[in-house]
Amino acid sequence: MNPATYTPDQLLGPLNAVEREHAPEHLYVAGDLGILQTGARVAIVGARQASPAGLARARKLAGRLVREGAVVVSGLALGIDTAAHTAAIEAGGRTIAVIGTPLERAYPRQNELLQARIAADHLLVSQFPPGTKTQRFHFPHRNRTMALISDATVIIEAGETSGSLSQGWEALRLGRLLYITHAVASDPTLKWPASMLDYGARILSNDTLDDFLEALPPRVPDPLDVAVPF
Amino acid sequence: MSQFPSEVAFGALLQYAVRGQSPLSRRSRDVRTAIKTNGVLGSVAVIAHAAVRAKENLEADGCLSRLLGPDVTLVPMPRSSLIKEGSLWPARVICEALRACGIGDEILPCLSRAEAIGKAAFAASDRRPDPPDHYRTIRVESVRPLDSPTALVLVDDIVTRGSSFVGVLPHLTATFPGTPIHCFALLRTISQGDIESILDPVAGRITYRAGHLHRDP
Repeated sequence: MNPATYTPDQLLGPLNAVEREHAPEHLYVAGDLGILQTGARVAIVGARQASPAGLARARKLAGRLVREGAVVVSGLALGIDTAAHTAAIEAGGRTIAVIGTPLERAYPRQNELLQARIAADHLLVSQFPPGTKTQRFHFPHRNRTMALISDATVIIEAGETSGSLSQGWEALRLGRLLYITHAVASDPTLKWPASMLDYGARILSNDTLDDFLEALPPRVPDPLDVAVPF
Repeated sequence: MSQFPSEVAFGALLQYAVRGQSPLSRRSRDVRTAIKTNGVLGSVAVIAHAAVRAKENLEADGCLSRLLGPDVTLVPMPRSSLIKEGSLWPARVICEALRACGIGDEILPCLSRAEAIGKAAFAASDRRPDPPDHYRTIRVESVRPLDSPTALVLVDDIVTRGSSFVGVLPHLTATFPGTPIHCFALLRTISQGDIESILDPVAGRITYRAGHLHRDP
């Protein structure tokens, strides 16, 4: 591991006032910073105790995003997060893990090897300084930071109390793309999807996948060789 | 039912190709994304950069000077979705950037969306919200009388067909009777083909007749 400390502006470019509101003071990173310049960053998040169908959707989406040149971002939790990271790696893509612990600590323990691999070959990010004692509220804060790092967030599967919801609301606050899967949006037992749709979330389905991919910002070198072409 | 205007004067500074595949058309969609997120290209804040370009058009007595000026009051268009306090509101950011360049002497955020409405850019042409949809879902917040009869400019990030402008204008004309009202969007959509440049200031008209909207240019 080769940890380094940056401000969010140093890593992500200048933040606007809305982005700055919940941005952490520093980001501690290990791995390949070049990943931040290689493609649109899409967070795939959801339940730790995910259904087989949810896990399959996460893997399928991660694989498709890799084929499109995007970077898969997630939080290294069990369930959807693990499925997204591993599918991205298996597809030969790049992945970023934004964790709720300091870099030197793995939570959950089951993902210790995966975390080490991401720190070595991909990118591991934490907003918590080395030695920080992990608290429950660190995880929703981690989710807000993941929303900041990501150009878009997709919630694959989440209950009413899922930490993924804090990421969804932060993505909406930032004006970023937020998609929720059709399966979740049509689940009559859930109230949060309808609320998020009112505030700007969109439904991800086979019919809307191309629109979603088209809306992602590029992070490839500008073909016109000028930063702002007007 | 409110009386919708049959013709609305509008201006736009930039254009983007919705489906064009040339490098410039693709790049224009990056500009759209940066405007929607108040983002940067390179390290340049795109909305602030565009506001400078608008100011240059006014200083050269370009077409936007028919709509914009130092003494107009800027009214940001509500987003199509509901919005929570502290969230990004692109139209408001555009108003602030214009004002920072000396365009407009006041920002009046007097409109809000009471009910989410489908996004024009993401809906099939026959399912896009029409002016009555916009009218029905917009509320006017309490506003004080304007100090002087300056023109109002309704400011949006993107104009597609102009449905939101036509739908919202009756609220403003009812609230500020006798005050001239214009419409301005930073970007206009080009639905077919490629574009030759992203910067393309225009002043034109949106017509609404027999339920049909037409934007020219």
